Amino acid sequence: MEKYKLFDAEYKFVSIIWDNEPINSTELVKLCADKLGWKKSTTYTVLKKLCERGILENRDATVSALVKRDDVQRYESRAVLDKTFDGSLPKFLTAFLSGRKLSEQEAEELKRIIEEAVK
Amino acid sequence: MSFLQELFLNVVNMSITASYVAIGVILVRLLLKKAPKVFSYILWIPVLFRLVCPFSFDSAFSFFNLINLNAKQGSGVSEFVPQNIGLMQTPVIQSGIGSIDSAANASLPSAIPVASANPMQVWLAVFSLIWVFGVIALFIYSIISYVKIKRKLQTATRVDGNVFETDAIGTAFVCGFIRPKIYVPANIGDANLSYILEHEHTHIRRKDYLIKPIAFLALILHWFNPLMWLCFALMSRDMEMSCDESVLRRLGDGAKGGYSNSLLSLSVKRKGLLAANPLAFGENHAKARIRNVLNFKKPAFWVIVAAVAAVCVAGFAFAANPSESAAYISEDYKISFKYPSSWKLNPNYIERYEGKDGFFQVGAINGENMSIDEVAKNDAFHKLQPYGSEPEIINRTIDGQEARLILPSADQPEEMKNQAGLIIKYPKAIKIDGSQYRYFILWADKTHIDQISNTLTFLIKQAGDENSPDKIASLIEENLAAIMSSPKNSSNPQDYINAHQTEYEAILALETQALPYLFAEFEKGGQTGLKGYIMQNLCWDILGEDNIQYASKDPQDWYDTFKKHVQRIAASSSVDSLRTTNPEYGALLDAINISGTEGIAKLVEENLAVIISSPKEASNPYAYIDMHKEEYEKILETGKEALPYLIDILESGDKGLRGNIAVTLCEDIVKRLLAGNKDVDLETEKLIKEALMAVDKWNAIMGNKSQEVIMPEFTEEEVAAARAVVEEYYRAVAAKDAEAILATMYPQEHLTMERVKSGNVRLFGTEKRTLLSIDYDSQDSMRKSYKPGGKYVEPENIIVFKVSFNIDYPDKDTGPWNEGVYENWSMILIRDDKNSPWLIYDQGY
Repeated sequence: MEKYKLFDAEYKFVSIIWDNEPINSTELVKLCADKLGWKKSTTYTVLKKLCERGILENRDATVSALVKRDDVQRYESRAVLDKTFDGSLPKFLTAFLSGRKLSEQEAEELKRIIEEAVK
Repeated sequence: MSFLQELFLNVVNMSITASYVAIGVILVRLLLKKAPKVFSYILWIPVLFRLVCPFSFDSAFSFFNLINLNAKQGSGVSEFVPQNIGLMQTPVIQSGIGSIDSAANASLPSAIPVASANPMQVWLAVFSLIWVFGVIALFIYSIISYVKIKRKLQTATRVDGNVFETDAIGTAFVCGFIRPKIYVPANIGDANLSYILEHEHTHIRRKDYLIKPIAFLALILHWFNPLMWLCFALMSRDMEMSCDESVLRRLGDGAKGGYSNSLLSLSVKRKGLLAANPLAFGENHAKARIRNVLNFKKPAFWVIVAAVAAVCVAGFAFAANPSESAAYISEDYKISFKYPSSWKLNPNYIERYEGKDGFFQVGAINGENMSIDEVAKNDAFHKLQPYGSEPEIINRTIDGQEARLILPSADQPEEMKNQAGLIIKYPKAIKIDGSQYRYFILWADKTHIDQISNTLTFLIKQAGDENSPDKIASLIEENLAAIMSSPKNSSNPQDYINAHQTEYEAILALETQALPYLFAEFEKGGQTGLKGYIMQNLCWDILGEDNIQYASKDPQDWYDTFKKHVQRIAASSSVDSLRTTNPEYGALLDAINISGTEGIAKLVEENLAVIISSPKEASNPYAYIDMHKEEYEKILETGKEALPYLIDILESGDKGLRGNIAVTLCEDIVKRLLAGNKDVDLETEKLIKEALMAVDKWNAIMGNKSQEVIMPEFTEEEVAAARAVVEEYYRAVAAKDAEAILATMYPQEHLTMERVKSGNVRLFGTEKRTLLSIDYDSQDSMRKSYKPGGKYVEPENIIVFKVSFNIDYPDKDTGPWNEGVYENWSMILIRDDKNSPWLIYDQGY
């Protein structure tokens, strides 16, 4: 069976449920607010999404996990955003403003420069 | 113009202003390369200020004074593109850079009269619509982006306090406006995290998370200005670098390596996540930052001091508008000066400008017959005490003119707003609405009055006007040539004038200054052509009198008639008085070479020469005068005009006949001026005093000039007959016999029985007049100097007695006399000829 792919936040969320299941959903909201800094709506949104994917189960306001910790693989999101405010600019302008992306070669060179400078 | 277009023009103007500042900032930034980046960062404040605020304060120390803007600077708003550009016939943009302007202006369509709408207006409408759609689109796009990010960040999990991590982002940043949170990519490692958090906390501390969105909003407003995009990029870079430096200052040099590694790892982490973009250029952001971090040294103290100074100076200079003071020019008051351009006209007064920091008001004072000190005192010590109880009056010279500055005392009423006054004598009296004014007065608050008065110049000058005759002549010639150039086919001079109103008015604007040239041209003669007609019209318009537009066969004929007319007036009054009543004729009088004093001098000299020419044998000057009554009268008629010349003769010490006659002339003229107790003006009074002083001095030098004149002796019978008349007079007075009194008196118009009876003439009062003595001296000085009714009487027909008498009033009665003895009282008797009886003509001291 292929492993379930969970992003960072989802993994942290499910981890809370593994640690505390079965857990009352109100309780879960409190716990998430405390541990993850989430709002009530965020908790419910993520909960709903994971229930739909069959990873969690919410029955009569009691939440429990349908998958085991070992069956889950932690994934990084691919849709990474750039800087906030630059991110609110059209893409070509973002590129214009923040300059070219660092090439591998440049990165290596910089690494060397840093090492030399710090020595 | 719609609100939108107005707004757009405002934004364009702000954009142009900001562009200047931005270029300045970019240049100063180059100088500050080695200095901490925080200084470069601060320098962007003026640019932002210019982008969002159309107003600024004025300062002489403004960067804009350097680039020589002729743009309108009053009202604190920098205006390059005029608000009424859509309505201008030929639109003009003034950016302050010549080449750009000529290019920009060449591309501006000028109004084609047939078109119903000015094409510029259409373009303006189009551009402003494009602009506003751009702004709205960018704004909506920003909001959507922000909401998207916020959604992505929703599931970020709290690491600690306001720090959240999420795998949905590739780099760390601060987000939020009220309670900003720091978001970091998930799993970046504790070492990196500490550096990155330090960096982001610094951003929060410095409120960068607010500054950047504000700058971005300004950028949206000015999206059409590519320079502003560059500024935004540079500003962001300066913000990051100064933040990096701030972190390093806190963490110390040792953190350099770790910190730059963190920057690098964040950059690398992002690698490949965004597709390579063809538009990207320049050094990578991260690379520049890493270099900056590695090169970071705690700056030397002097570098900081220098940078602080440079930033303060530059910041102020960039933010300030040039303090273009406005010019106050009044054709009425013939004055111009400069005042702070922020002051505005107060419509409740005639001419008053006010600002928060002060005010000025102008006025003119008639001041006839008053010295400047009297005028100053009148204003300073006005009964309402506008300057307080003890104002100070200080002598000044303004624009070469005598002036008095009135400074208020400490108890000046508050509502006068520190008013000080400055009174200046006009170079020559001005006319407003037909009244003459000799003094100009400027009221202003005492902090500004000197500043204003230093820039004050009169539009009229006594002499040496800035408009030299040559300049005026060439100006008139140029304009005349232009007027005469077209329409060639017309024979009506008015058509030429109509076709060249501007040129014609340019000559008219010279007012009377144009007259010398015009008259001189007419003096050359032969002005019967088009030029003559135009010049004739100019003369008419400048002189502004209908009654000189005589019917004449051609302009030259008109001029000759006019010249005769003026000459006639000059002859009947005097050249000088004509100059005062009709100053515009002065130019003509100059042109025909009659100058006032010269004319008078000639007249006096010529007539004097005739008078002293005969009778040669006589020693008595009166004999000469009597012989040439007509010439003598001619000199007398010039009145006070002749006095200065006569005084000259006396002061030259001419002891002979000429001097003698000059003395009598002086005395007679003075007598006439004072006849009938006429009030004389101050100038005349001064002249009279001078004349009398000159006469006294002359007499003193000559010894008693009367000694030179020996009066003829009378026979004993003649003296006795005269004495008897005097005795009869006193008898009749004592008897209060009016008829008898009149019988002793020389018949004069006002001495008739009817007038005595009607009470118009009183020959005596209630006093008791008792004759005590009668003395006779043939050389009595009164006999020599007295001229009955201003007329010359032969010495053998005038006799003078010195009498003494007593006046006594009954009980408490009073009258014109003082009680007591009158001595040396002259009784003057004349006779028509040797065979006529002596009769009393006058009496007195």
